[in-house]
Amino acid sequence: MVRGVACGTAVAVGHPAPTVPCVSTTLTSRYAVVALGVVLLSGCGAAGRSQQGAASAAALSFERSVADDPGKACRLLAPKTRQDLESDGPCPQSLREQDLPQAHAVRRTQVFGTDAMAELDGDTLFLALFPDGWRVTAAGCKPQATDRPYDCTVKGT
Amino acid sequence: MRWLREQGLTLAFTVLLLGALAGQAVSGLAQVNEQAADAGLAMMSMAQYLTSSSFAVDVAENWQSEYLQFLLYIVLTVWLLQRGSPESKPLDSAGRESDEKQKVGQYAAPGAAAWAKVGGWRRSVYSHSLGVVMGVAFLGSWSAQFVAGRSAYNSEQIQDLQAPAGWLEYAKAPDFWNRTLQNWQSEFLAVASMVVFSIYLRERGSPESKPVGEPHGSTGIEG
Repeated sequence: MVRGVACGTAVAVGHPAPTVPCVSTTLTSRYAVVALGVVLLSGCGAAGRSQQGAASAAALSFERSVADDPGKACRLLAPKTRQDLESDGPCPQSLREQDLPQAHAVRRTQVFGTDAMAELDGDTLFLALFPDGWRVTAAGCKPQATDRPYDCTVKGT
Repeated sequence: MRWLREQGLTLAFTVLLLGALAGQAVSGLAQVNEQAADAGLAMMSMAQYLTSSSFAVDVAENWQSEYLQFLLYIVLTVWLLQRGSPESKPLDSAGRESDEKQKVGQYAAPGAAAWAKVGGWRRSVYSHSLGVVMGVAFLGSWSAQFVAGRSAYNSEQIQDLQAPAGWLEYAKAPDFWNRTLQNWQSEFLAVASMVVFSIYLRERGSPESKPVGEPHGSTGIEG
């Protein structure tokens, strides 16, 4: 499925800036829209950066809540992901049993429209934008071989 | 009323363009939201969809191929000929042609554009302005396809729990080249069909066709 505006940059929250900064697409995405001549300006500049900040904040909030307040962490899950967890019992309890890796800082967040990937110091999360904010679609994700999906402990099926 | 009649071709195609774009927007949004529902993701509004990379790449990939088609057609027909086709120049006219035939400089008609009457760089620029503008439009829309295509592709990658592609990676990605080439092939087919069909077939009254009674072998004659 294809969604979202052309915007993908990195942001660091509670952590030094990444050594390899993600290339900002703010200008280039605007160029794309101008070249097209019909598509309204995506507002990928400030809005894009604010979405990166919001996605990073949601990722960090989720990681911090898993141990301290699993109920809150459950509320930060995307509906389908939460539904999947609840098939094994109440969400907070199931989430605690997943033994997710701990993370304390965001290294890099890439946002493309309504989808984001947040790389933290101890975990990688995938997120999606909902009307009430960013929600975690997958957590506890480890990279596999090139061109293979991440192997995630928590995800919606 | 007279103005409408004299601008009819432009107006008709502008209306068709807007109608088709509106239809593409409505059907595209429905498709995107159908997929969002299946994946348990949020629905998009029309405003969100119109500013999305998904819509942008679908528009741009078609635009770039149209401008490429016209660019190639404009430039290649300077030198390449086709016996019997009204799309070709007469068989003895290949090339840039003389100033007299092109009506530039001292041969310019009274109502000619100012830059056609003068010499130097201004005449050179004006002599290639159609090709240059088509070329810029092609490169602009192809670039737009690349930028929006990467964003749309990465959106899908993330939904599939895969890492997003960088610029260089996307430049080599099948997604970019498949979107590009599937449009190019259809444009080249359309041009080749038009060149060949118009040798033998006629559309009475159309300037794109030879007059109905014109022999198949006549070249460079339009109705």
